Amino acid sequence: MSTAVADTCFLVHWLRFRDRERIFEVFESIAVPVMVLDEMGARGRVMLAPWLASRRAFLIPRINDYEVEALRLVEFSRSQRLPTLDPPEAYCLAVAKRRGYAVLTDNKAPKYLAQILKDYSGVKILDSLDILALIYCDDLAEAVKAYKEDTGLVFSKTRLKTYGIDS
Amino acid sequence: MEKFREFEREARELREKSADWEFIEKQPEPIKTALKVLVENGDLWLAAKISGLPVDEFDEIRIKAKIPVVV
Repeated sequence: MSTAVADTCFLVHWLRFRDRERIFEVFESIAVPVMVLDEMGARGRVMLAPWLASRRAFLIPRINDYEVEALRLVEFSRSQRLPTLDPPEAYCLAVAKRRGYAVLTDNKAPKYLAQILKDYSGVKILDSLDILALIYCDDLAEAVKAYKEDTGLVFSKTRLKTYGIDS
Repeated sequence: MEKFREFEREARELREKSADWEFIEKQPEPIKTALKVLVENGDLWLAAKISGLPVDEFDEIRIKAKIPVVV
């Protein structure tokens, strides 16, 4: 069991999922950058509060080194015309690389960047479908349906096929 | 990269098709523009920034506008 650092959009959706607590079957703790917390409104903070209070989630302060690295990643993705990398995702990547955490994000850009940048090739990047697959081995189709209902998130047919689900 | 572009094309089509355009057009600015940006590029964080709302509050409006986040 390990630690994962969560991006804003992933967290906003996952916290709405009826079985959100089951993420701790995969990770011992979830790191939340203060930058990510600042992006969340009242509802998200209320949903996150029990995790923080029980110390299963913890906050990562703004650290200049990480912010500088995040800017480097944003600039690199722009200069190479890669998929758009938002600053909080970039910050999560920088934290994950330095601390040995996994990254939780529903955006494609971090996964793509990690394939291109050699120094990020060791960073594990997972989206909500990856997490659902790790939790619900045999009941993945049902879990995907529930996740869609709770979050308004849709998984691409191609990705679902890789997990043996025909939508 | 081509694989990603193909995914983006499909995702954008799905967002355009699923979106409740009547709802979107009725929203005040800058929410209306933010929702249109979301349909166009699928970037929830950027759209929330444009709206001036926290991500989770903007996401509530996104659900009402029937714009799917495609992963």
